[in-house]
Amino acid sequence: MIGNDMITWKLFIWFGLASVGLSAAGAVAALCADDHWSASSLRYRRRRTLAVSLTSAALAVFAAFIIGLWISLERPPLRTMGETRLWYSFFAILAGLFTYLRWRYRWILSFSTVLATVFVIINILRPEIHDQSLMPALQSPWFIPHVTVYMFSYSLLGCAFLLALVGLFSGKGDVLPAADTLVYVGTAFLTFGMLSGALWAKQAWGHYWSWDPKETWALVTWLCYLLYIHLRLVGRVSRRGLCLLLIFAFLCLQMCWWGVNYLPAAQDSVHVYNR
Amino acid sequence: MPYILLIIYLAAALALQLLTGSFPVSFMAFPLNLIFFVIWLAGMLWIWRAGRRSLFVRFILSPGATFTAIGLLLAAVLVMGFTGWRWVASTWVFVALMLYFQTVLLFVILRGWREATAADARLGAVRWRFVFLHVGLLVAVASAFWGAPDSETQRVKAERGNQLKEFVLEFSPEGAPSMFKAVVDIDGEDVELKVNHPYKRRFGEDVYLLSYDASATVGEEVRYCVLQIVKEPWKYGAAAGIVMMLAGALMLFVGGPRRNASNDWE
Repeated sequence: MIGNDMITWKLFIWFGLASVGLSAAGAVAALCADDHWSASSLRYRRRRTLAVSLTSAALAVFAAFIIGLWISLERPPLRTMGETRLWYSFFAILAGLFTYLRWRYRWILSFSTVLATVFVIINILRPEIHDQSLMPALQSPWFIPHVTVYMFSYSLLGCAFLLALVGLFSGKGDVLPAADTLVYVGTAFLTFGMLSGALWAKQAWGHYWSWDPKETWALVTWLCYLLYIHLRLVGRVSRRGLCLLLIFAFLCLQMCWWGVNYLPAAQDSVHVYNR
Repeated sequence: MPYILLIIYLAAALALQLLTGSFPVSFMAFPLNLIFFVIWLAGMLWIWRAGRRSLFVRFILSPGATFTAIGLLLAAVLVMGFTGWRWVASTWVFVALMLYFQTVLLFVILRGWREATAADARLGAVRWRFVFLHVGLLVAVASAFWGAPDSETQRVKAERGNQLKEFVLEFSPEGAPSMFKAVVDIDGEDVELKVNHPYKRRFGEDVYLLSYDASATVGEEVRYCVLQIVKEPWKYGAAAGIVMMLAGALMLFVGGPRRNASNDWE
């Protein structure tokens, strides 16, 4: 069914490495700009254009693989852990680029590259890509928006997590205004993901909410970010405390994303598709 | 002082839990749930009009009330996350917590639904993003909370020669089931059921194709399937709340962090 000329997981190592390489080159280009260069100077703008072009090229290579895999699988690659990691890497680079363009942090592209690289390496070494077919419960128009929206929010909140780490350990400047925007947009997408999941669950299983372990952890994650947003509105909590909350929230997010698969109490989850 | 009262409130719920067991969910079925809901809502609105300076309202509208509402719920859900104990959701403590959460949310909405202007609070513009997010959450949570006693889930086995008229089962090349659908007799009518395609039987009641005779392999006849009948008359409220929150989330994405210092926490 799958011809030799099609894009399959066998080719991922080349696409993945090329994309990570381009992203790393973009990160280096961004880092090479000096803090003292004015934002309007020609050499600064040249560096910036180079960094943005290289990162965009990395995104294009990654997108080409995802689209090719989609065509060869004859279904969206969103089901196995390996497939969702693919989207995560893609969105991590995208979120890094977004943050770089918006706030001009020189180092953010390095962080997002590292994040994307980790998931590319996991996919090369331990792909978890078996099970080519799409089980009936997942055959729904909700499937693609539900998963991609979650992956996008995870990558934005991943960048917020990196900012929180920087804020906690370097103490250089205030990272929270930038983290705020990432958290607001990330939480908006987290809300889309959770609510589209609820609407879909009603259609597929009969109940909007059934305290399935994945749902429970999604709610934990959502409440953490809700708490952060409301604490920020008052401003009575220390920066350190807020950074710690963002780190805790991201750990809960990991629990929701893949941790539940290993949690003994969650073995009856209806959300585990790759056993 | 207010925090001591909050602790006493939750301790009372814990005592009830230990003495009487979990919350009597089915006892609260219609019309009791509706009566209590109306009493709660009317009571809170009366307090809002009559006792704005009272300790109760001042506490409920304080930042601390919001943080304890989100934080305590977070703690309870974390316990459920680590243990997998779904029954926590029907304990007295959790019910008390959800009531507290809804009360805080209601008062926050009453205070903040429009911009407070210095000249006249009644003239302020409506804060649509705030309204969609907070009212949506309250409507969705309240529908789930007050409607829970009226929810009913039944499972029925539909057998061939009886209720099951036709069953189609397809397999992927790897041998896993890729599609199944059934034609079943519901109230004298032949209805096609598929996963993700429930059948609306009447107001608030849907029929789902849950599973089938899993012993059937390629080429074999499926002898029975399992139907799930879900009665959830309050589901329309939950759907309306969810749609409102989706609209609010879209505005959250477009607007980003935005402070209106005048209105948050007077």
